[in-house]
Amino acid sequence: MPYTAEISRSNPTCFVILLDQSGSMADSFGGAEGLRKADFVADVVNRTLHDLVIRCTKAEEIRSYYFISIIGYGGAVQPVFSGALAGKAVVPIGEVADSPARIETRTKRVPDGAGGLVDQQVRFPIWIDPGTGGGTPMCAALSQAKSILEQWLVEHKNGFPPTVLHLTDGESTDGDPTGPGKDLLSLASSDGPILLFNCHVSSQRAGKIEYPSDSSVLPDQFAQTLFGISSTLPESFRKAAQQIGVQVSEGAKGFVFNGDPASVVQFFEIGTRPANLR
Amino acid sequence: MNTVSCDLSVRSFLLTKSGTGPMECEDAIAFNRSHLIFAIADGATEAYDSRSWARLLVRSWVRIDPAAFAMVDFEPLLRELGIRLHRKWARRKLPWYAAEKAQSGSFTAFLGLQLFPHDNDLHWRALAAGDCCLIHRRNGVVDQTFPISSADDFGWNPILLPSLTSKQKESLRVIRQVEGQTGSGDDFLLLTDAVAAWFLRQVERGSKESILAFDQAVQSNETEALGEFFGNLRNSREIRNDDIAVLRISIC
Repeated sequence: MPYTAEISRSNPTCFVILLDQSGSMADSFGGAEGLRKADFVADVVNRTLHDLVIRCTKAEEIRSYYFISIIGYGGAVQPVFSGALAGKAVVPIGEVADSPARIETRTKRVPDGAGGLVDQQVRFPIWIDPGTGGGTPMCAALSQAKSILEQWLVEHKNGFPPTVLHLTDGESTDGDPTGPGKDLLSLASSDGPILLFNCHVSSQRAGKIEYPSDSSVLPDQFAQTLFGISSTLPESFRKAAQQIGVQVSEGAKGFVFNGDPASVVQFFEIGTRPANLR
Repeated sequence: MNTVSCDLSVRSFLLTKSGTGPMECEDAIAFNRSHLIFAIADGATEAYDSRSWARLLVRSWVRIDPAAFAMVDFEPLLRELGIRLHRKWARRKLPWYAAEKAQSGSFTAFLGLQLFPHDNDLHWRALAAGDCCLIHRRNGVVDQTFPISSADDFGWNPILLPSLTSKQKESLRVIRQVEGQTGSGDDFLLLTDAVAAWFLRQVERGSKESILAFDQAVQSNETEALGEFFGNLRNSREIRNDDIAVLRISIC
């Protein structure tokens, strides 16, 4: 039965985050004045990395359950870690933990214990900075993810299959991504094919479609294309979705179309929740 | 205080999940044989330093006689232990991620048992939070299981005992207690979730041979025998790869 391998230090898994950093990512997002898509997405990715690090923290040590790769595509297709990790394509989670580019202080609203909310200063580690510019070379990005995972799987044949989380706000400018997407999906560990989840975001207030199981609900060919290269959500991911209040049916694809800011947060929360952590 | 005279045979085993070392075991066992107090705990895998929290709780609980069953006793004990653990962490210079995770505290499932005399008989009382499970057998036949009665009831996310004092009050509401009478020929198995789920599954299937093999491995009092027994079950995926705590108290 696929997607049941334990994630352990001897059998880690890998998350590849593919980020569209094209010029249009500089547009505002979700109607909020001054909130750019690129800024919002960078914050969500930094928060996701933070959560993965915390999940691997046992006492004073980090257990290497995960490897992380973050590839940006726009003017170029390249790893986008900032700071000491700059240029690295795949990094074990322990190295991620020890090497944020910087740690900022943010304000978070937390319950005050008496029914109200108070502002609290929290540390917010930064690993990636927002980037915008150029076109949307999606095919090249998917091909680079394939090349990274091909190499990674040589040394990690038996673990939980890698998960690729792809976020974009527009159509590919370097061709039909179906071929590169299918090529990527052809990779596998002994526990099953790699997982590719796609999240399309939109500045428009168009109707969003989250985790469909049927392509007939999709509005156009572009949505059909992304749907066609999205993996079906394994059971543990469906459970993760249900735990955060997102209803997904059996057979649902890891695919969001016309997503808003809340969709992006949920996409990364669900996509980084394989079960079976030892 | 507990002066009842009875012959007991006590067997205890801690087995770590495969692929981890003994110092990483997050299950814990403690008992105070002279006061007939026994406890096991199962620290939450994703929590901070749950091995320390599970061990601190069982070791402290079995030192007190009579055992802290009443909430008026249990609540201050839990609070004091939580404060002690968080102070210990605060004294250390931790990297940012450990410091942050420590702020969320640790969590553990807990199961405590005390035997005590009452009206010339021997009685028992148990307290549970989370998914550790007690099996009371009379002449080898299961008489009662507590707080879980079916193998299918494992696998949910139980409310555990937190080290963080601000979260403890809510968890105390889910503590359950039970008591009954016992005597010669009875035994009590205190089991953490993976082994308890397996055991209840065997009972439900009527797999007497499996239970007999388990009893023989426990009776041998050799960790290697039990390790081999559960190693085989793990390999055949009949039991989840998790830490295992087995504490058996047999009344002779």
